Amino acid sequence: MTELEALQRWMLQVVTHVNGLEAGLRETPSPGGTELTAIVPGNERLSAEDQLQIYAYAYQERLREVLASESPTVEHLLGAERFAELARHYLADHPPHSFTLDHLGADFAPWLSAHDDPLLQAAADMVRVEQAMDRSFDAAPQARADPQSLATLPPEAWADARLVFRSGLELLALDHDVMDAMTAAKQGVTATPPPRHPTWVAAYTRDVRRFRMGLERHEHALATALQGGAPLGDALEQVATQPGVDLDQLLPAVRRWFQRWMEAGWIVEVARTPGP
Amino acid sequence: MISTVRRNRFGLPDLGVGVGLRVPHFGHVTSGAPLAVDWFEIISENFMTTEGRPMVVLEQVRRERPVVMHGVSMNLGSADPLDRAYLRGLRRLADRIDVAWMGDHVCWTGVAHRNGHDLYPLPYTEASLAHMVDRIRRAQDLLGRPLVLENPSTYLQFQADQMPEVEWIGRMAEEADCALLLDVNNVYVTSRNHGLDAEDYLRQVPWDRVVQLHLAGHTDHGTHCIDTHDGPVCEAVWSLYAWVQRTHGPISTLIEWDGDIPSFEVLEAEVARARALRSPS
Repeated sequence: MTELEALQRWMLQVVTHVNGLEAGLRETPSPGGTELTAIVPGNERLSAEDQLQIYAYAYQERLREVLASESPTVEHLLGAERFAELARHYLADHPPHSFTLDHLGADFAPWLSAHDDPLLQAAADMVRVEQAMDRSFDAAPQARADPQSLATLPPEAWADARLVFRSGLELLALDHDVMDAMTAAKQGVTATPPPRHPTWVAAYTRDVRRFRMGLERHEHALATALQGGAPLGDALEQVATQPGVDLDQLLPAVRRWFQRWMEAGWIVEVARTPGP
Repeated sequence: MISTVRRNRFGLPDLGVGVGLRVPHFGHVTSGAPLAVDWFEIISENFMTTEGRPMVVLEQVRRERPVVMHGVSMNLGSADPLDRAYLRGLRRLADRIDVAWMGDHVCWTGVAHRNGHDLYPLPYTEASLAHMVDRIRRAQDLLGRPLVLENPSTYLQFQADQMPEVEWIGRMAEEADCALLLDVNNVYVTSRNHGLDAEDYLRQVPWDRVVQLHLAGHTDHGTHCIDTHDGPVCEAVWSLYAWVQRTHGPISTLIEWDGDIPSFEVLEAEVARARALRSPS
C-alpha cells in the first residue's frame, strides 16, 4: 500500500465513522502509527481535530440531506432528530459506493422495514412511494394519448386492445395507508402514523411534477395487468375473477378508472395490434 | 455572448457568464422566458443516470446555449483505480450534448471503493503529483478531450506537504497538459483557512491554462470559511474576480449557487454584476 493510499484510507475511516470523529480517531490506526499532528498539523485557529471535524460533519450532513430530500415526508413524520439518527446508522450499514448519490437510499426502505418498530415499518412504505416518484421523474417523458383514441375505439376492438402506460409509472401495493401522513407532511401539519392497512398507490410524473395517487384494490390489479402487457379483455377477466368482485359494479368502476388514468396522463397509446 | 477571442492555450472560447442548471429552475429555463445568462454548467453525475425530465430539459437548454460539464466524482486523486465505466458514461454524455468542455476537481472523493461524496484534499507532495498527473493523462485519453480541473476549497493541510497548493496545481496542469478552472471563491476560502494571501495565490496561477472561473458564496465562521454555495458572492471575492478579469480576462465565468437556491432572477442579478466586471472581449 502506498503512503497516499494509507493516508486516504485512514482519513476516510476517521471522517465517516458512525460514532463521530472522536471515535474514528480512537479506533482507526494512523498511517505508520504516528501522532495526529504529524499527519495534520492544524493551525493557530483550528486544531487538527477541528479541521477533520469539518469533513466529518460534512459527510453526515450531506448524506442526511440527500436521504431527507428523497424522503421529506418521512423526515416530517419521524422528526428531524430521529431521522438524522436513523440516517447515520443507515449510512454505517450501507455506506455509499456509487459515483452518484441517486443510489444512496436504495436500501433505505428494506432497512427501515427490518426494524421491530411499527412506525419505521410504516415509514418504509412512505420511502417506497417517495422513491417511486423520483424514479418516475427520471423516466423518459411521453405525450399522453388523445382521449379520442379511447372514445373512438370500436366495440369489437376493445378485447384485444392494449393500453400502453407512460414509462416511469409505478404501481405499488403497500402494507400501510401512507396517503394521509404524506399529505400532512406536504402541508406541514402534524402527521399521524400511517395505520397498517393494505394500500395501493400509483407514482408518476407529469410535465415536471411528481404525483402519487391512491388506487382502489381492483383498479391497481387492472392497471398492473395492463402495464404487464395484457390485452384489455384478459386484464378485465383477471380482475373479474378475483374474490369479492361485484360484476355489476365493475363496469362503471372501470369507466371511472379509465377516466382518471387519462386525466393523469398515464395512457400514451391505445394499441390495437397484438403486443410482443 | 460567445467571444471568438481565445486567450487560453486550448483554444477554448470565452462563453460569457453562466449559471448552474438546477432542478428548481427547470420550469423557468424551459418556459420560453428570456434568460439573461450566456451558458449553463451541469453537475455531470446528475445527468448520467437519467433519461427523464433532467435530460429533456438539458437537451432543450443545449439547443439554445453552450453547456459545460462539471463533475464531482472522477476521484482523480484517489489511490483507487480509475473508474473506467464512469469515464465512459461521462464521454457518452459529453458527446451526446456536445459540451463546450468538461472537468472535475483537484481532489479525491473516495478510496477502497467507498465514496465520501466530498472533495478531499491531497497532500501536495512529489509522489501525489506524479500519481495525479498519470491519472489525468489516462482520463484525458479515455475522454478524448482535455480536462478542466478546479482548485478545491480545503480545510486542512498535511504535514507531508512539500509545496504550496498553487505551485502543485500549476505543475500538475503543465505536466498533465490539462486546463484549469479557477474557482475564485475557493482561492479566498483556502487562503483564509490556511493564512495565505489570496492575491499572491492568484498571481502564481498559470493563466494561459485557465479556461473558466467560478464564483460562489461561502459561510464565514470567523476562525474558518466553508464553501457552502448557498448565498451571494462576497465583496472580497468580487474584488479578486475583478482583478482576474482586468488582468487576464475575459474568461468564461460561472455563478454557483447550490444550497437555498434562489429564484432565477437572483442568479441573473449576480450574472449582471459579473458581466460588469469583465474585460471587453
